[in-house]
Amino acid sequence: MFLEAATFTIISLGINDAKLDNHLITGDVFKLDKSANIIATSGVGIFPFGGQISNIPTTFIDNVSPSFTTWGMGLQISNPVNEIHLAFEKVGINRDVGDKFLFIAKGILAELNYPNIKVNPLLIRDPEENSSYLTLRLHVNTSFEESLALDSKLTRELVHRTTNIPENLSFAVYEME
Amino acid sequence: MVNADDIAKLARELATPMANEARIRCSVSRAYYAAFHYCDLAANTWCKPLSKDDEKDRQTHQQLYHRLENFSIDKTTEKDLQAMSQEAKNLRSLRVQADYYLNEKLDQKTIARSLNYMSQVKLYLDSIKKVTTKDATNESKK
Repeated sequence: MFLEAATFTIISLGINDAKLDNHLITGDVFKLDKSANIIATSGVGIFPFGGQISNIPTTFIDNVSPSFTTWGMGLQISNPVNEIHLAFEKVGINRDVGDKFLFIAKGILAELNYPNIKVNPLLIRDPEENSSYLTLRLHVNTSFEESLALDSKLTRELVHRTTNIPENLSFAVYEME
Repeated sequence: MVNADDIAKLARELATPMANEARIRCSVSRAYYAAFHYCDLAANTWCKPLSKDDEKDRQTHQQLYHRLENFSIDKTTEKDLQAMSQEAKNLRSLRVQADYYLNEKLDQKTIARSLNYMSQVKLYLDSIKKVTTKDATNESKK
């Protein structure tokens, strides 16, 4: 199988009325156990979706490999955080660098009025070139046709706003599944 | 002699509404190679050659995209060349799926997506041609 995405326990982490800094919005939920990023919180809950969560450590998250949905500042972004970082690692992209480009890509879509984004990393091994490519599929609430138009806009904007996009990383916009 | 437009035309012809999966895969694959040849034309026209060091550890297709993204001879075309490369690389992933991973279901949406990438690559090529032609005309008027 070329789809190398690992299977993880899925946990949805909801933070109601929380103000989160930008770093957290990029999906680094590991910061949550120290709570430094949560400025004001009126409710925090963990809701399992079909997974076992009996071993969640007191430090919250560190030892599990979940997909997360975070809510904060009006954004709803679902990130399979570990899956993305694992994918970065597999194609040799520094995690911070990968996160930076992902954050910019999400920001562009948010500017285009698509703040609800689900990230789906797709790793593909090319047997001909003996190399692997990572496409981060950004799923947004839109039609298939509109997703194609958004895909082109995202590429154009990303190229104009950044330099040195890692050569085996690309972004694509998909409709929400 | 055949050119990239002929391959693009074939990709579109294969993309019929009733296309079966084998045909879908062929269309995606042809779309990628049309895009690849558009990129190759762009690199050979508006990019410097790669150094031996840059060629090292990269296969043919990787070399082409690396060249488009980093070796533009002209600032005015630099971003369009990079965007062109990004579009082609997105299509490359679909093409690898189409040609090698038969267990993964590809459908009409994959065709539409791949033709969209191919068209974008061609649009960038045409846009760069226009800019450079205009620049050359302005230069000759001086």
